[in-house]
Amino acid sequence: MLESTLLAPDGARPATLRVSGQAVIAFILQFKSALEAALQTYPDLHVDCAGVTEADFSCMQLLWSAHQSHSGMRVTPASCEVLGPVILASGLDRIDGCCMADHSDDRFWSCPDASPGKV
Amino acid sequence: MSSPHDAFREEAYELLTALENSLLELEECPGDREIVGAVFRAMHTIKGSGAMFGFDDISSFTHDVETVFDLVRNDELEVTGPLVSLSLAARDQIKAMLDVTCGGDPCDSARTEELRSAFRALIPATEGAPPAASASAKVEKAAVVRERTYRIRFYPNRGIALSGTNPLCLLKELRELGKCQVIAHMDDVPPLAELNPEQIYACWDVILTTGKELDAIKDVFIFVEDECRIQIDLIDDEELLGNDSSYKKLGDILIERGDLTPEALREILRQQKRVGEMLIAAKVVSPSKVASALAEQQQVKEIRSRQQQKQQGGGDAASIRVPADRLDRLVDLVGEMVTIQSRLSQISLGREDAELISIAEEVERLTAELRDNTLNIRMLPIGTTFSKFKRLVRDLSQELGKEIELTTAGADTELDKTVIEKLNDPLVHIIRNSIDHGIEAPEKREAAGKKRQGTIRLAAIHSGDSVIIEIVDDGAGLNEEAIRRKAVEKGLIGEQEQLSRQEIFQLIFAAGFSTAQKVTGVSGRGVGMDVVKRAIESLRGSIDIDSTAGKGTIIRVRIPLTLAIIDSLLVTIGEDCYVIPLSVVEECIELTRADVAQAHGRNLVRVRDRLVPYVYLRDEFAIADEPPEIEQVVVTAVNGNQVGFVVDRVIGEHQTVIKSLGRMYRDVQGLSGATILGDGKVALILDIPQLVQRAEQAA
Repeated sequence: MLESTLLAPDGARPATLRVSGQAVIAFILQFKSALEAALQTYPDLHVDCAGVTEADFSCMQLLWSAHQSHSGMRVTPASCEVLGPVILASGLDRIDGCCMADHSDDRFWSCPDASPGKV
Repeated sequence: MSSPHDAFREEAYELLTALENSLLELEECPGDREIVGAVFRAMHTIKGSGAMFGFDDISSFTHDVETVFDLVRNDELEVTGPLVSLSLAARDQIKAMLDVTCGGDPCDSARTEELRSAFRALIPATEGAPPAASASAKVEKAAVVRERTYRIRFYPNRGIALSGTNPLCLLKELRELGKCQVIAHMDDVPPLAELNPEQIYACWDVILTTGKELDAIKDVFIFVEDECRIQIDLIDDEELLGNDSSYKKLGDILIERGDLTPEALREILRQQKRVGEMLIAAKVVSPSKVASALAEQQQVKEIRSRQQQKQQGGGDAASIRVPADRLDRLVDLVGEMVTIQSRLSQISLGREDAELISIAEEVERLTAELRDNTLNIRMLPIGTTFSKFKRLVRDLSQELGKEIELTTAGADTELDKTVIEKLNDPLVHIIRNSIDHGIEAPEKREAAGKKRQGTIRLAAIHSGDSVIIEIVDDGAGLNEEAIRRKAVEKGLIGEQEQLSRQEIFQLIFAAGFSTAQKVTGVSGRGVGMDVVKRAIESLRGSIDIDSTAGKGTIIRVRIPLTLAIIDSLLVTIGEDCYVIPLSVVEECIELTRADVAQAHGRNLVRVRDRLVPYVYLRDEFAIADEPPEIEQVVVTAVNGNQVGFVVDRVIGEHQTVIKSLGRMYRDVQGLSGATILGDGKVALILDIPQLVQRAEQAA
């Protein structure tokens, strides 16, 4: 099961798509629809994955594609316990700009709460 | 699309069939490394995909078996008879566990544990950990392991995730093999608007340094072979390449990987002089020697590139998996198409419109082609059934203390899938009979001057629109006198009745007939051969038998290639149409009132120099109206005998789409189905062997 809630911008906080549950292939169409709809209105959307309990490569690929199409999109948190291992397992950590890579150019996604030196 | 679980089950059942064959072959050739590899890979696939699809009990049980075969693969364990028997038992247990997931009987978990313990006992314990607890049961050799570095390019098909495969599991397995770097390539991932998120657009490069053999890497992908493209290149081998720390130039690596074209590299390097040019300029090497070296380099590169292309070409999928029910549906639709086409042809002929007739003929040609192609798709080699009998012969001969070899021929002969499925039980019964009653005990064979080991030969050959399957044994043969006595005792024949040898043999197909002195669990209950005959006849086939006492028995089963659409002869009796399968028809002759009068009330007609008995179908089906002056006799061949069937008129050949009769009519004798004619009328299909049998009983 995957749930997503779109929160409108509120003061300093940008528009946020709060995602929770299983970000896996079984629910990926649903995830894409929610992401696409939110990005249409808010190109600088924050995708909050703190509530994600399970993720697979289809989720990574979707976030990658969304970021390629909307460079203002950000994914948080940087040290997500669920997404981190999937990024490593996928070999995405070696791609320049990934929040877990060494370089910060052409970043995969932006992590506002990341430590300096990381994106 | 079927669910990933169904796909796993389907694949696992296929693997179990192949595994059984491999194990039986291994028993005959215990030193064959290829067969050991095949067994290992089958176990590995079942384990891997089992775990991937949540069949944890199957995966865990298979892991122990796989571990043992990994030891065998590494020459740390020998293949023995008991190991093969144990592995066959494990194979049966995996099948039972799989059956449970399809609603089969509950699996005997005590048996699972018993087998698991037996396999674990074969695995040498390693220090500090129980053998079964180790993640990989492979026992590393004490010798220094030779490490190699491979570049693995993993290009999954777009739909790989939809079939339940998680590419990250494969990458994880690779990581377990050694030092590994995984790099994802996301270049082909489209923008969000164009992305189908259920498809995988990425591919991966994996640089793996491992002491394992290349097979271990291939094994990781063994159960997704059809769902991805894999390229594995050895890029470094410490033994072959020495300890030189230098490696290929960046440009060479990029070209080798296909990431950079040589032209692009050349363009960049254009301003720089080539090595050859520099060598020539420095007058170190003559221009001809440089040209020669370049020619050698170019040729070797071309040959290697060609070889590589060949290898890659071999890996491309040449077939696709289609659920059987979709094929059945396709055949049904083609059947409907044939019926409609027949109607179109009939209507077009009635209209006398040349253009319409031409179109109808074209449709007829295309429909026939479509029919043949569709039916061909359902054709399977009969070898798929033959291979099951190896195990049957092995197990039964062991149980009965006999030594029997099964040989097969014509395993490539193709038959309709449905026919093959329905043929299995009758063939099992015939082979069981041959093992139990035919082949003698080794001592008895030796006393009779025969080899200790008996032989059962199973052969299939094409014959027109049929396949003939022969089951030949070199056993004791049939005892004509014993069969005769038993038939008299059972009241099947009179004591004084004179029967030909062939007729005596046919008696074993009578209900309740058995000459076995004792009833065994294998056969001998006298409920066998009549059931076999009925099953074969229900397939519109026939069975006959020949035997020589002391030498052996030959059973011949003739089966039509397909059950869905047949060529037939359309006839009429009164107002109704009937269909006679063309495979049994020999010829058609006229029957005049004078012919009937000459026979003096007996149903006999002269066909050249022979008198052929006939069945008067008008009586058989109680058709009351007046027959025509000249009737027709369709002469058929049934069980080697000629029998005629009298009809009013022979219309001609007809493509018959067989429709089964409803439940109400299923037990009506003499009819095997129905078909719909071009004008929408229903024609009944005659069951010729059954009509002959009825006539014989009535006589």
